[in-house]
Amino acid sequence: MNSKIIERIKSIILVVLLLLTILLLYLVLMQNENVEISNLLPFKTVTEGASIQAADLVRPKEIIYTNENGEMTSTYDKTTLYQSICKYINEFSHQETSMVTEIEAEQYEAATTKSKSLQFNFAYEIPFKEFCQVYGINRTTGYSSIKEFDSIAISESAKDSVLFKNSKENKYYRIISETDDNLFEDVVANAIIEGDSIYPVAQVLGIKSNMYIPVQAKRNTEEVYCMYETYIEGSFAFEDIAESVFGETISFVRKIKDSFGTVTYMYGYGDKTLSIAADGKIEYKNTSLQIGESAGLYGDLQTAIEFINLWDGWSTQNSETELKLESIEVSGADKNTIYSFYFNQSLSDEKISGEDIFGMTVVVEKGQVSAMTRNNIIAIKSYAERENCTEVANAIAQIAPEKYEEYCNENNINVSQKTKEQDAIAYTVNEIVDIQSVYKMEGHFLIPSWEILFKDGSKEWIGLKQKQF
Amino acid sequence: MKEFKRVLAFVLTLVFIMSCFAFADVTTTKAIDTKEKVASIVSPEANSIVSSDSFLVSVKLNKEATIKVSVYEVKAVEKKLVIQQVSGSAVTKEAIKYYSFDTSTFEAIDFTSNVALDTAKDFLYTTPATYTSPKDAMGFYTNKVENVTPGMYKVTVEVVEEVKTKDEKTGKEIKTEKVIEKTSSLICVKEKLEKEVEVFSQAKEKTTALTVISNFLKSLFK
Repeated sequence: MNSKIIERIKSIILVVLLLLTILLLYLVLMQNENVEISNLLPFKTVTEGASIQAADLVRPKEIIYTNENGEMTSTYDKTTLYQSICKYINEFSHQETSMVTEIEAEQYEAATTKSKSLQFNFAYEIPFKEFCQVYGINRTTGYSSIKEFDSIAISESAKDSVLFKNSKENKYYRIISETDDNLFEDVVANAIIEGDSIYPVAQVLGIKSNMYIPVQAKRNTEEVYCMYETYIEGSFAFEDIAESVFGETISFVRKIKDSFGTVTYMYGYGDKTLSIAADGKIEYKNTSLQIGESAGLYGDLQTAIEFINLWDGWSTQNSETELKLESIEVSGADKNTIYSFYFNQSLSDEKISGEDIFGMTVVVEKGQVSAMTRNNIIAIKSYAERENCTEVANAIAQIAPEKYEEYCNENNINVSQKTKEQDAIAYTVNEIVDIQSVYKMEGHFLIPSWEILFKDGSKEWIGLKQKQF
Repeated sequence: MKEFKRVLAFVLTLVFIMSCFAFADVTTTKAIDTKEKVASIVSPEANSIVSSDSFLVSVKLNKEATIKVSVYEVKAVEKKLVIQQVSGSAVTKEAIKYYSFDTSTFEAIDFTSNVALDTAKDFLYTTPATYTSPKDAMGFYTNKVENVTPGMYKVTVEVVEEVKTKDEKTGKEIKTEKVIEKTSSLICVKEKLEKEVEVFSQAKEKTTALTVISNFLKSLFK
C-alpha cells in the first residue's frame, strides 16, 4: 500500500480520536454537574473548607422563641434564621429615621419574655462595628454607642425595633426604624417552633433565679463508640502536616522523638515547634511572629480558618463529627488583641465534651497564628430514635449536695442535715451559668449527658440516664 | 404565816406543773405542724391563674419516695328537676349536668371564693403518672400538661407505699398501694387575651423627638 495512503489513514484516525476525546470530555464535564476537575486529578489537594468564611462560623449558640402565651422553646440555629435577622437589621439601618437608644434591662426582659419574640444568644461578644461591616449595615445616628453585643432580639411588643444586649457591661440598646410590620412577621414565621420547652428555675425547682432550664428535651440516649484520631509515622498525613506548617524551611527543621513516642519538629532555636503525641494530639507553637496587627474578630477568625485548611481540619477521616466555633477568648485591645478560637467537635449537633477540649484551638496574635492544638476523635452518628428526657431538675438535685458540701467545708459553715438539701439546691442553682446536652467522652464511648457549667469554670456531667461522672 | 407559806408553795407547785403541761402541749403541736411533707407541689402554684393552653407540673420530693401524680379537671355541677314519662305516668327526676367553669371572668387572686367547689366534681384529665425519686436524694417530677382548654384544674400528688399482704385463700402475696400523704393544687386556666404589651411607650416618645432633631440636622447638610 502506498505510504501516502497509510499516512492519510493515520491522520484520519488521529482526528477521529481527537474528536472523540473532546466529545467524551464534554459529556463528562458538562452533563454531570457533580464532576469537578479536582476530583479527576490523581492527587488530592487540600481545598476542603477553603470556601468557609468567618461569618459562616459566627453563629448564635441558641435561639429562644417565646410564643404569645409567654412559653419558651430553645433550639440551635440549623436554618437560615440568623441570616434573616441580619438581613432584617440591614433593612432597618438603611431607613432614614433609623437610630439607636439605650434602654433598661427590665424593658429588654419584658420585650423578650412577655410577648412573642425571638432571641439570638451568642457564647461570646461580637464587636458591633465589625458585625455591621460584614452584613453591610449602615451605621447611622447613635450606632457607634453599641460597642459589643452577645444577644440580638426582636419582639412583637416593638415591631419597629431590634434589641441588642451586652451582658459583659450590662447594657441594652434598641435600634428603631420606621419599617414595615410584616418584616417581623416574616422572620417569626420562619422561626423553628419545635425545640426544647424551657421554664424559669423558680417554676421548676421553686428557687429564685433568672435562669431557664429545659423540662422536656428530645435526645438521642444511645452511647456511641469513639476513638482518638492517630497518626502513623512515615504516613502521608504525618509528613504532609509538618511540610505544610514549615513550608520551604522544612529542610532546616530538626526532628526529635522522645521515649513516650512524641515526635517534635523544631525550627531554629524553638522558634516554631510542632509536636505530635502518640495519642494523636498535635501542638503547634510559633514564638517568632512578624510585626503585624490584629485584623479584628472576623479577620483573625479568617486567618484561623485558613490555618485549619492547611491541616485539612474541617473533615476527619471516617468520622461524622463537625467542627463548630464554640467560644472565643479575647485578651489585649485594638490592634494588639489576641484571639483564642475554640473549634469544638460535635456529633449530631451535640457538642463532644469531657475533661479535654475536643477539636481545634487556634490562637491568633498580631494577625498570625501563634499556637494551635488539634485533639480530634472519630465517631459515627447514632440513628436511634430520640427519647423524651425530663431529668434536668434531677440532674441539678443530684450534684447539689456534693457541690454545697465543698462550699461549706471551704468556708467553715455548719449546716443542719434538715436545711442542707434545700440550701444545697439554692446554692448550686445560683452557681450555674449554663446547662446543655452534650456527648461526654468516657473511655471509648460518647455518653449523652447534661453538661452543667459553673461560674468558676468547672463542669459537671450527668448522664441522660442519671449516671454521674 | 406558816399556813400562808404552805398555800403559796402549793399554788406555785401547781402553776409550775400546769405550765409544764402547757409547754409540752405546744411542743407536741409544733412537732406535728412542722413535720416535713415528703412531696410538695412547686408548680402550678396553688390558686394561680394561667392564660395558656398548657401548664407545668413540678413536684419536689424531699426523700426517696414514690408518688402518683394525677391531673383532674374540676367541673361545675348543675342539678335540674325534669319530668319524665315512665310507663305513661309523669315522674320527676333529678338530672345532673357537668360543665367546665367559665373562667373568663375570674380575675381575683383568690378566685376559689367565686366558685362552688364543694359541689364540683373532679374528672381525670391525664393518665396518672408514677415517679420514684433517686435513692437517698431529693427528686423532682416534671411534666408539661398540654392542650388544656379553659377551666379549673387540680393537680393531686399522692405519696404511696407498697404494702404486701397474704391472700387468706390462696396464700399468695398481694401487693397493694397505701396512700400515706396527699397534696393538691388548684389552678385556673383562662383563654389568652389579645392585649398588646407596651414596653417602650415612654422611650418611643423620646425617640420621636430625637428623630425629628436628627432628621432636621440631616436635612441641613443634604
